Amino acid sequence: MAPAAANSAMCEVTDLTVAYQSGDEWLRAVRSVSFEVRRGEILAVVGETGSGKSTTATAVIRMLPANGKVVSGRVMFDGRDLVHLPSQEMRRLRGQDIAYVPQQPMSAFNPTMTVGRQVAEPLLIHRRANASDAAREASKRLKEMGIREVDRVMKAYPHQLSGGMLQRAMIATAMICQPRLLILDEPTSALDVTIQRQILALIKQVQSEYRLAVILISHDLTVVSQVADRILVMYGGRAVEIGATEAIMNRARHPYTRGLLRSTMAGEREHKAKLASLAGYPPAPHDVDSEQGCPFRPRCPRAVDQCSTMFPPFSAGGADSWACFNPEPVE
Amino acid sequence: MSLVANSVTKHFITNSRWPLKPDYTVAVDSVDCTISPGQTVGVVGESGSGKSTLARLMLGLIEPTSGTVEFDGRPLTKFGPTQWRDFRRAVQPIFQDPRSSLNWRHSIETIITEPLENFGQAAPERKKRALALLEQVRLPANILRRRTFDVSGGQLQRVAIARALALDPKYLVCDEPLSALDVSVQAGVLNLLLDLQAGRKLAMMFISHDLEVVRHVSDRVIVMYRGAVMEDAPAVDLYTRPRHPYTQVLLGRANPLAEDEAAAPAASATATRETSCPFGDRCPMRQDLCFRERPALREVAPGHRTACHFV
Repeated sequence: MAPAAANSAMCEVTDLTVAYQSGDEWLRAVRSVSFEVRRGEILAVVGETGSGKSTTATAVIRMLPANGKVVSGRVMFDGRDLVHLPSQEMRRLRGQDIAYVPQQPMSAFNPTMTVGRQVAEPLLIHRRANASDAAREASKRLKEMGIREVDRVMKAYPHQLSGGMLQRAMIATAMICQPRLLILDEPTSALDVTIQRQILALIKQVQSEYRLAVILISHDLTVVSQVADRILVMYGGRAVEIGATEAIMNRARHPYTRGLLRSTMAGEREHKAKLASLAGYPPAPHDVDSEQGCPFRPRCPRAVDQCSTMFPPFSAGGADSWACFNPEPVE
Repeated sequence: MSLVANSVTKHFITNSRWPLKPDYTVAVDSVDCTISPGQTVGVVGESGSGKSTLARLMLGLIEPTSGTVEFDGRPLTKFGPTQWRDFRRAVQPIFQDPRSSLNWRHSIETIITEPLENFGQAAPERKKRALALLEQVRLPANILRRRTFDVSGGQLQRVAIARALALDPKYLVCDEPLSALDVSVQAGVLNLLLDLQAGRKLAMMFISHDLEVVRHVSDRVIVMYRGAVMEDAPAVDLYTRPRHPYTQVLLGRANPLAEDEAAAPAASATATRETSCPFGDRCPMRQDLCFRERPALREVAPGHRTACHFV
């Protein structure tokens, strides 16, 4: 945390609201979300299905599907607002200054091209490199990602490689133009536990070596807490808590974050004892859009009257900041 | 009375171009597994380890290539229609993704009451029973008229549990029952399973890639790798003193060899399966012996079996 704090924000998202068209209506999936990522830090964005975490990431790099749009808000990168950047300039940034690693490496690669060609492609496009230079650079990157049999992987087609290997190649592709901001969407959730740990270690290594700003999207708080410097917790389209990893894991104040932590298996517990669980279910898209107050209210054990009328403002700064009228007491 | 797998093996043919000899994958390799009444057996392993195939074998959904699955001392392959009926009543599955395992054309009521109808209960009784089941899995009664796509994933998994319980089974085979669910609803479903197990003295086979969940619910745990059992031990033992290198790797107490460093004497090839350790190519402790002789499962402590030469 300490060195990162000295840096200004690499990417600053302010009041971002994103909506999807569904039939005749527009439903907001992300509502007034603000956060920043600084140089040399990993910010994890954690949430469940429908919390808006992937939508937030795809809005930042302007890769929302055709039925999605940014309704309001700003995404500042390098002094420019990405939301209003002409698409040609956005294309220049994407893959070069901002790189994105999509979910599911298996389906993100083109099955008809060799992996080597795909890792090298950003260089051919952004740097107008010639094919042999690009290939040389690609093998160098693959090696950096901990792949030993570089030659085999370069010539292989995606279906010939394992998920862990493809994820390494995917990160190599993202890193090949030396971006400053790297966005990873669920980079480990399709992988087995043993591979998961290796990929997390790789992300951490790449990030600190290049002093990258990283946005790491995940549904698993305990997994990301191993590598993230800060964590943003999302629920029902809203940011509900943001803070240093240590503060979130040990002293979270938002009832949702606390509930999640209590219900996970982390730590010692009595065999077959009941787990603390959150009642109810996450909100459906319609409810995310129409909710006047806090989206967690229907499930919240600490809800007060105010919660149904407006979304609570964030508490002021510190290591941790939360949006709640009746936060959990300090333990 | 128990559900037992006696060294079951399942091969899947991957390529049968005549006149070549068919290629096959060994999905499950001589696995022994006993589920006794009231007991929970956890099965852990990575994808491709054969966990789900083992579940399907235990449910009698597929036939083993060799070995037998026995229920109350009788092999499933010798069952006649009546015995199958009794078996289906006693052993019920819960699958990973309720959205694909439940029929979306049916109402929740049909889904829950269909087993009752098949077993001859009259309509008014069925409805009463469905309501009682919903209460047990803590779902509101008005859900009966809805359909699968109207219901959240967490609620739908509870519907799947209610359906499985409709006939008062003695055994539940749960294949990754939590992994399709949101984190915040997993604990609730897990609590429900624990409750039911204690209350009804259910026996369970609980398959998951989540080691901590398996530790929490299981009495015994079986660790599988490439279809074979690496270790089989009481849950507490396995987690406090994992013996097999693979179990140690899974629990994060040792590092496996990297995938491509692992270029080993083709341990996965069926020809060498008899003579080498399935985990040999990624094992941090491997030695020559591991590729000459396959380690057999042997008891290293009371009730604790492991398949490694060097434990």
